[in-house]
This record gives sequence, C-alpha cells and structure tokens, in this order.
Amino acid sequence: MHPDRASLRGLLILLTAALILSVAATASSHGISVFAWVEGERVVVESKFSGGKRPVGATVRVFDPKGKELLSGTTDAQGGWAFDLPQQTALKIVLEAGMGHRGEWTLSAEEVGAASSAATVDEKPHTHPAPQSTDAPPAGAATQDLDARLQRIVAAELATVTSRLARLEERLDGPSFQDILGGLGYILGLVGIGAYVQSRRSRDAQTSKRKAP
Amino acid sequence: MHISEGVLSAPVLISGAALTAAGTTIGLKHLDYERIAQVGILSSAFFVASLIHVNVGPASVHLILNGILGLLLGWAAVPAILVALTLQALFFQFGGITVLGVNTLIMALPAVLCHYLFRRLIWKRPIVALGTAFACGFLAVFLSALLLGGALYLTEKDFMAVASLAVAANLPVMVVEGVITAFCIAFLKKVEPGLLPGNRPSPNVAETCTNACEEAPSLGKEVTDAP
Repeated sequence: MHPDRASLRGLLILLTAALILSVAATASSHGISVFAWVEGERVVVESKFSGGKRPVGATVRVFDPKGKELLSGTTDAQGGWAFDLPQQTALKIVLEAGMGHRGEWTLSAEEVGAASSAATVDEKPHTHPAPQSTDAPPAGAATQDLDARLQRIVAAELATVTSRLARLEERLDGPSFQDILGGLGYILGLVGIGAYVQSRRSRDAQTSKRKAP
Repeated sequence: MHISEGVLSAPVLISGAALTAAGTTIGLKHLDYERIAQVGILSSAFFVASLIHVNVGPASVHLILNGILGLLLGWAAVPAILVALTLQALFFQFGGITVLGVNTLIMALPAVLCHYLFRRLIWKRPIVALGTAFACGFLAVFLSALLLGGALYLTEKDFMAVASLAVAANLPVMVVEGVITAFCIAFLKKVEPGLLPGNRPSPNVAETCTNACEEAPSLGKEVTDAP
C-alpha cells in the first residue's frame, strides 16, 4: 500500500477510536448537574439541566461508599431536595430524571465531618448557663466566648466551601481530554487543507500538461 | 522544556521568532504534500508527548519526541513542531505565544540537525541502526537542553549553571527518547520503510539517496518487501 494511504488510514482509525472514547467519557450534552452540600445535620441537594431548567420530581438516591443505597427521595419544583445525614461517611448522591438523564455528586467524608462538627459546636453553648452579672470582666469574657464560638462555627462552615473550591480548581488544572481532542482536531484540519491544496495543484498540473502539446 | 512567558528578553524573543520564521519557510518548501498525513500524525504525537511526564527528583520533565520527528521529516519538522507548540500554548497553556519562536527553535533545530546526521546511518546493519536511532533521540534532547541554556544565558543568566541543570534534569528524557526512537525506527524498517528518510527521492529537493541506495539492497528482505 502506498505509504501515505497507510498512514492516512491509521490516522482515521486512531481518530475514530478517540472520538468514540470521548463520547463515552465526557458526554454531557443536555446533561444534568447535581450539587450537594452539608448544612449542619442536613444535606441539601440542588440540580439543574444544562440550560437552566430544573428537574421536577426526579428521583434522588443516596449511596454509601460501598454502594449500598441508604435513602431516596424526589426533587421539588426547584429541582432541590434535602435530607438528614444518615451517617458520617462519604456519600454518593445520584439523580435520575428519566429518559436517560442522570447526574451524580459525591460528598467527601471531610465535607460531611466538617459541616456536621459545625453543628455540634453550635449546639454546645446552649448547655452552658448564660452569665447574668453586669460586671465588666464577666461581660468581657462573654463576648470573648462568643467570638471564639463564632470563629469555630465560621471556620467549620467555610471548610465545606473551601473543599468544593479545591475540587473545582482541580478540574481546571491541567489539560483536559477535550483540550487534547481540540488540538488534534486542528492538526487534522491542517492536514486536510494541505491535502486539498495538493490535490488542486496536481489537478492544475495535469490540466496544464494536457493543454500543452 | 517549554520556556514560559516573561522569562526571556525582547532581543532573544525577536531573533528566535525570526529564525523560526525562516526555518518554517524552508520547512514548508521541503514539505512533501503527498506525505502530509504523516506530518500530521507526527505533529499530533509531538503535541500529546508533552503530557507524558518523567519524574526526576522534585521536578518533572516531559517527553519531547523531536528526535524521531527530525529523523522522519527533516526540515518539515519545523512547521510540524511550530503547529504543535502553538496548539499546546493555546489549549494547555504550555509556554506562550511571544515565546513561541524561541521554543520552536529549541526543539526543531536539533531535530533538523539529527536528521542530516543520522539519516544514512539507520540503513546499516540492525545493531548499528538501533544504536543510531538511540543516539538520534538522545542527541536531539541533549541539544535542545543546550539551546535552552543558551536562550536563558542570552537573557543574562549563567550559561553553565542553567545548561548543566537543563541537561541533568532531562537526562532521563534523553534515555527514554533514545529507546523510543530506537524502537520506532526498528518497527518502521520492518513494516513501512517508505516512511524513513533516504528511501525515496523527495520531489522538491534533491534528496535522492546516493550511498544509502547502494547500501539498502544489502538489507535484503526488509527493503524489497516494502509495498
């Protein structure tokens, strides 16, 4: 076989394989995105279709790290759902909106632990007897105690936001599969243009040869 | 081996861009449009190669593949590498646009050099050919590291320090690339020797095989079985 046809066939096979794999790996056209976060002892789930519409009445199921289903529910009119934390482990939340639409979100064990510890921090001060005296030192101590509690609560709540940010940054870091495919596509395009130019040239050369006596 | 934006001084960037433009023009003249698919495949391989990291101590370096690109493409390696580096800069943010000329020069010039050094030797006995291919891959990365040091030196850094660091850090890459080049050339010799340099005359430039053609028949089976 002519060397160029062999390499062209090889290139086509490679590209078809890459395309098939990419469809399997990253298909999210008209996809569903699911978000979940922990607020104290509750987990709040939000979801939407790419494009903004909310899935109403979609089934949401919660799995533990081993894959055992823990509980399930349906989304409300805003595509949201909330449930009480069943256990202090990582949780996988899977949403299915019919017709093959499916989205999932994983809550890491740290997120679950951090946010629920914020709740326990919040609850503890209620058991302390509140100081009734109006003297300066106890009042100063009370505000200091309040500051410390506030700091702990804010830090614990921020932990979930920071971990979500970290996961988002991780996804943006480094070349994605789509980037690779995009670059390869441009190279293929240049090859195509070059081949077209070459075919025009050889056609013009042939017609000029035929014209010349 | 990609230099980032804002590291080099303006004179270095401009001269790098000018030299790369000249090299690209020559490369496009030498580009055999009948074999443009091969150029595209090798350019794609180069494009993806930088994602393959070889960890070396605290730093990590990546594969370059300019040895095999140079050996198979010759001057056409310059536009191939330029295209791949442009796409890497745009898609992966490797290197940068202003520093594109210098980066291309660093990787393409050794490629072209190794082409002219080694293109006849790969047709010798299999052992010699294997060693040649290894040397080609090794030398291409080595020269790239030296050019990297040179570019940084011209921007007022200490040449010996930078060059020796670049060479030392890329030593694993040199070895790995030598091995890869050796395997590729051995494979191509068996399967598709038409892709290797010196086997067919280029229509654009008088690269007709002279002593290579006289030696090739002595390889017997491998060459005559070419489709």
